[in-house]
Amino acid sequence: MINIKFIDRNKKLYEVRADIGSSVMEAATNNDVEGIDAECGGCCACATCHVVAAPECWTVVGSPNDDEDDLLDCVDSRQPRSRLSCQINVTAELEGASFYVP
Amino acid sequence: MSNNIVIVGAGLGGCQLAFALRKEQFKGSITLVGDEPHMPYHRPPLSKEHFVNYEENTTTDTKKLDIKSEALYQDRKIDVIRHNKVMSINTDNKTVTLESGMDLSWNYLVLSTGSRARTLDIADQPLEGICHLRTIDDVRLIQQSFANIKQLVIIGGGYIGLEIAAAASKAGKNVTILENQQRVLQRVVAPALSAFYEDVHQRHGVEIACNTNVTGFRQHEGAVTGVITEENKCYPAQMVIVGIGVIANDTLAASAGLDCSNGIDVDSLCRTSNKDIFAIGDCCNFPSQLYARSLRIESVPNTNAQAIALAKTLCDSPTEHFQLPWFWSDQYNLKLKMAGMTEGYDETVIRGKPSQQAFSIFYLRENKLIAVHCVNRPADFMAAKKLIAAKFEPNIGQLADPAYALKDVK
Repeated sequence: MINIKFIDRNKKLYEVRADIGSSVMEAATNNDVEGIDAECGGCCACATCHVVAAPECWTVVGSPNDDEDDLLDCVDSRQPRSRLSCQINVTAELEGASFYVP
Repeated sequence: MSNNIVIVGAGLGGCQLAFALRKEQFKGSITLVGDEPHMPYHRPPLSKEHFVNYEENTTTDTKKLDIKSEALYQDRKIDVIRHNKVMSINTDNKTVTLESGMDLSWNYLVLSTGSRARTLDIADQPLEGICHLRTIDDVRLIQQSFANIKQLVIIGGGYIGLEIAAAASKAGKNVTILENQQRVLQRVVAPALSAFYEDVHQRHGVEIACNTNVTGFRQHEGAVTGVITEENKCYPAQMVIVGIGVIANDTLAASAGLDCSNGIDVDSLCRTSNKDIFAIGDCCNFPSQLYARSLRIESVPNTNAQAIALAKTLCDSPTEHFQLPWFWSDQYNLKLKMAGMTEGYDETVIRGKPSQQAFSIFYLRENKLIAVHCVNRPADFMAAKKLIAAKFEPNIGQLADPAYALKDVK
């Protein structure tokens, strides 16, 4: 397990544990992070698990895949480091990463 | 005084409701009872990426299908009873009796019993090789012999049949789909979309036979070897997967005297005809304001929305759920997203080019947008959801023209 952080729209900080091999979205929904709805359960079909990665972890997090990119394009709050958290795999390298809920 | 809530059905609805109740600060006991041996899991991947990624002779890792980690249930004090079926609801003393003989008391009972795969009961005896695809155990059974078969016949040209056909043909199998209607997906999509998918599948080598009724099977030593149709044609098969829809699990409710006209009848708060019993998800028939009729919807987002609303209702904050029904289906590299219900449409408008595998079909009824089906056009899907919910009356010319952004269409 690793530690990652979420900051929601009200600036509330969540410091959570995440299972290696799960998705960042699951870490969020398992800890009731406000604003991550995951309507489609992680199937990259809805864009309700949208997060923005903090600059220092962007190299590890990486860019969105094509399907993700298409969906992110439909979201008004898209930013340069936007990702759909259901598509971000939790790996050991992600230790200490921070994500904002836009 | 704290209440006991028993939730019958440990699927998506039951799981989401249990966690939503804790989020609403519900302090009483929550017990989830499921007849499968697994913790609540996501079903949609079973016919998509999970099916595609089978490996010969390995037990597929199903832990990643879990909706929530096992530790989280303990953390939130949600009791889960697995592999145990609720046999009866006793409304007099407010208990349920389980297959094991155990009784559970409840102050509120929630039925999230979902649906079960419809079966084709035409073989004289159960035949090896005839499969369904609804549960993890169904998939494991298929995966045990999938590597060794070449000839697959799929009965049913609905979403399940088409998704499996895509996965199986990618895995190098010879696939035949037998559909008893005139075209695939006839029940839910416009002819143009059926034609598009039939064409795509055929280009991948999938054989599709419509207007075809299956009347029997050929077998050898208890294993299926062919599928026989009304025209007395036999399609060779080493495996048959039957995907002909689902049936709402409402027998338990009906036996307890609850109203069940199309699944379990509920009001706008998901309450059944018994004031202390509720139902959510695939199994319930609820009043839709948007469509001015009762609907029973088999859709993940619908189940999620009902679970969240019911949790509030059960915590003394009556909440009607509203969720524009939406669905998705992934076949090959085609992402189909659907919003709304097409029943009763009298006009369709196509936006984009089917030949480029990126287009949308809008469905209208009396000039109002009621549904949209989008292939690889997520922007149309996201914008159309809002328009449908608002019963938008669009300018048809602008709708058909991709040069007009959907949000600007008048």
